[in-house]
This record gives sequence, structure tokens and C-alpha cells, in this order.
Amino acid sequence: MNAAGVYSAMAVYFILGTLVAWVSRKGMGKGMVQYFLANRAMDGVVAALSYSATTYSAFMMVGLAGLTYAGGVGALGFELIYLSGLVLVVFFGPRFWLVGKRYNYVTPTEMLGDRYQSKWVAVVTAVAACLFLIPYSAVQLMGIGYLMQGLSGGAIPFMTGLVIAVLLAVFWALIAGMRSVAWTDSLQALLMVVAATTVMLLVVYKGLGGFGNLFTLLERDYPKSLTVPGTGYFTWQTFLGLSLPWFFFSISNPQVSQRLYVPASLKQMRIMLVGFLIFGFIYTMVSVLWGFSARVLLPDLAKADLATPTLLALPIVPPLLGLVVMVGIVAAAISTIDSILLTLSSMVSRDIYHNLFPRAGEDTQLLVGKLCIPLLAVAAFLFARQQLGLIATLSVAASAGLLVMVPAIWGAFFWSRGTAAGAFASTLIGGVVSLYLQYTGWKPLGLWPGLWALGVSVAVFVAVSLATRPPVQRAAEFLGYLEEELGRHNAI
Amino acid sequence: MNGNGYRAESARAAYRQAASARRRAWILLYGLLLVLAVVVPYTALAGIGRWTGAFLFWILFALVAVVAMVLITAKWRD
Repeated sequence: MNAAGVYSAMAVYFILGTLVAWVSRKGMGKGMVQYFLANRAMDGVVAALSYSATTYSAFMMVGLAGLTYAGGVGALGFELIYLSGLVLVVFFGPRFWLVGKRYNYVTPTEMLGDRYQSKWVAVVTAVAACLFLIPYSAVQLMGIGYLMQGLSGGAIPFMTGLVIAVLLAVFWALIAGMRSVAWTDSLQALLMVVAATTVMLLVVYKGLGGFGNLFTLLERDYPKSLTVPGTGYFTWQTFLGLSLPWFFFSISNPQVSQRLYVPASLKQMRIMLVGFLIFGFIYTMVSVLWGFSARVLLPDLAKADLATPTLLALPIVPPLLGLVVMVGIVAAAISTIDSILLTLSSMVSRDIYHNLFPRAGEDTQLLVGKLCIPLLAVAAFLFARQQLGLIATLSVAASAGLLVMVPAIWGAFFWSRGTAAGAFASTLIGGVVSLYLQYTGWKPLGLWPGLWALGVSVAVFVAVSLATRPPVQRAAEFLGYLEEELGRHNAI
Repeated sequence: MNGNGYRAESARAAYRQAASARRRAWILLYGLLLVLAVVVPYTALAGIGRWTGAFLFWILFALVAVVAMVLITAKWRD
């Protein structure tokens, strides 16, 4: 593919996305809830597509396909364990949604601060989210940079890809906040799954003679790729280290847990959940089969992350279709980045700025939030420029770091004895442990940083909570309201 | 509290208990499913280099998990 083709495809994508973002402004009111939560009135189908596009990023078609190429079927296992982790939405989703409406929460960390009656809990959890999600966004930017560079044979430099991605994400997030993000996400989700599925089927049928042949060749030439630990990459420690952070992703990552405030009703939330499960299953299968196809067709790649760009450059893939898939992968990354930017900016504004300057009105908070979108994007860009390590590892490192918030979130809904000191200490100490282990690469007992970070933060949360005084009145009111309403909505 | 009040309160308490029991049962079953999702491919299926091994197992695991989530949320009402 030449550079002109790649640029043209990106131009068409930009025009379509901007049109959709612009149309989404219709009927938009003023205020934080309107801008950051689309007025808590989102339709289930749009919510499902947006949730899918936000969750699934460039990691799937680049990183997961690469992991399948290098490590085999374990990649499928860990990604499907992630999908099964949506069971947390079944239990936490109605709870988030109910208290969000009742107490007018905009961010998940605002809920923690109010539930534990401490603004410092909101501040420290919001800071932790920024600390871990900026590298995660950077990973997405890197994915775009590698992809454009690879597909154009180097004609489009890595840095140009980064700049294009940052500009698109910021622009679409700013147009109408959650509305423009959700509507452009929906368009991008459809593009992602349709384009990737089409080319995967083309590669399997035209390049390999069908699924039967693909698996016959895998069983004959690479039987280990169909087992774990297989080629050796997926030891059980690695498998757990990858799976655990992803299992908790739906509550630990604020850009998705904030989505639990957004559906218009619980029935719409259910549509969001089921829609996402269908999307996730298809997209996971496509990404893994893509990696397996690369294993058979391109056995000698220098780097696993090159599997997708090299596969797209094969003569069996018509250039136009290759371009559409490339745009689909870029879309996967952009739709993740703009959602993260939007969520982080709402947290900086609501949980950090508003807590430090309590007299700031809603208009000022909104302005601060909007200003943060480009600033956070620049931070992610600077991180991406460093091009650290393998995409999958960095992506998981971010999720592992966010695991430290899980005990405080669980306690907010299920443990009246949880305290602000417990939530504060577990996030802080767990976060430090996670960063230290990530930075040094130390894996005590062979276990990954996420496992240790979660274990430490659970222990600290319970121990410190038991040693300090809980907000008895707030806990009783909060949990009592939930118990009553969950019964009314027949949710468990 | 009058007689009606007591009856309403005891009905709510009974409902809360039933919901709590349902929640515990699903968590237990789902937890078991997750343990199997990690243990089986690393033990019983570790030597089977065919698509009918871990590949098929994980697909079936995901489908069972999806069905469980659909069932649990089926009773949600507005």
C-alpha cells in the first residue's frame, strides 16, 4: 500500500466520523451530566457498540493476533476469560447505575469519595487512574504508529501516525463529549468487526483453503500452538498474570465503569451487556484466527506484532480491503483513546479540580474538563514517542495497575465496614507495589505484578478498614437505598 | 407498625434473603466455571495439539459464561 492510499483512506474516515459526531450534537443540553454522560439517557444498542469500541482497541488485531502468533491458543483463553469477566457488570452494573442517578455522580471515583465520605479518596483514585491510563492510551497510539508505518512500507513515519491519532481523538471527544464519542464509537465498532471478519474469512478461504485446512496445517506443523503452555510463552503464571487484570477490567477501568451510569434504564443496560458479549465473542475469534492464519502463512516473522500488517500486505488481500481493515484497526484505537480522554478529563475536573477548589461552579468544572482533553492527549503522545516494549505487555501493565481500585469499589457496594483510610491506603500502597514491580520487572514466585498488586490492595483495604472508623450513617443510607431499589428492579 | 406494615416488611425481608441466596448460588457456580477455565486446559488438555482440545474447550466455556449472564439479567425490570 502506498502512502497516498493510506492518507486517502484516513481522510474518508475522518470526514465520516466528523459528520456522525456533528449530528450527535442535536438536542444536547448544558452541564456536566449532559457532556460527560449523555444525560444518562443512552439507548442500549448505541451503548453496546460504544462499550465494545471503547473496550476493544488496537490491542486486539495487533497485540492479540501477535500473541496468538507467538504463544498459541492461550491468547484465546485469556481473552475469553476477560469476556467472562463481564459477569461483574451483572452484579456491579445495576448498583453503579442506581447510585449514579440517585446521587448525581459523574465519575466512578466521585462515587468512591462520596461513599467513603472523603474527598481524598476521590483525589487519589482519580490520580491513580490518570497515572495508569495515560500509558494505556499511549499503547493505542503506538499501535496506530506501527500499523501505518508497516502498511505504507515506511512511507508514513511512526510519528505522523501518532499525530493523526491524537488529533482525531481530541477532535471527536471535544465536539459533543460522550454523545460524539458514543456515536463515533458505534460507527467505528461496526467498521472494526465487519472489516476484520471479511478479511479474516478471505485469508482463511483464499489463502488457506478454509478452516478445515487451517487447523489441519496447525495440527500437523504447529501442534503446540493448540495447547498451553504450548510453545512456552503461556506458562500458567503468565496466563494468570494476563487474565486477572482483564477479568476485572469492567469495574477497574473508569472509562468503562463510567459507562454504567449512561444507559437510559436497566433494560437498556442489559441490551448493552448482551450486545457487547456478542460483539466481543466475534471480535475475539476473528483476532485469534487472524493470528493462527499468520502462523501458517508467515512462519518467519521477526516480531509477533508484525503479523497483522504483514498479513494485510499479502497479495491475496485486495489493497482496498486491506485499507479498510487498517482504518478499522485505527478506529479501534481512536475509539479507546477518545473514551479514555473523556473519562480522565471528567475525573480531573470533578474529582481533583472541584475537590481542591470547591467553590468552582458547574460551568467552570466543564470548562476545566474540556481543557484537559487536549492536555491529557499530549501527555499520552509524549509517552508513546518513547516506543517502550511489546504492545501487549504495556497494555496489560496499565490494567494491572488499575486493579488496585477493585477492593475499594467492592467495599463501596458490599462491605459496610469499609473505610476511607482503607480505600486510600489500598489504592496508594497497591499502586506503589504495582509500579515498583512493573519498573523492576521483579516477579516474586514467578507471579505477575497484577496478582501481587491485587493481593496487597485487598489485604491493606481489609486491615486498614478494620482498624479505622467506617462512615456508619453514609454506609447505611447508601447500602439501604441500594437494597431497596435492587429488589424493585429484580437485580441481584 | 400495623399488621399490613409488618406483612410488607416481612415480605421485603423474605425477598432480600431469596435474592441473596440467588446471588451466592450464581457466584459459586460461576466461580467453579472460572476455575475449570484455567485448570482443564493446563491439565487434561495440555497434551492435545488439536482444535478439539483447548481451542474448543475455551469456546464452549465462553458460550456457557454468556448464557449464564443472559440468564441472571433476564429478570431485570425497569
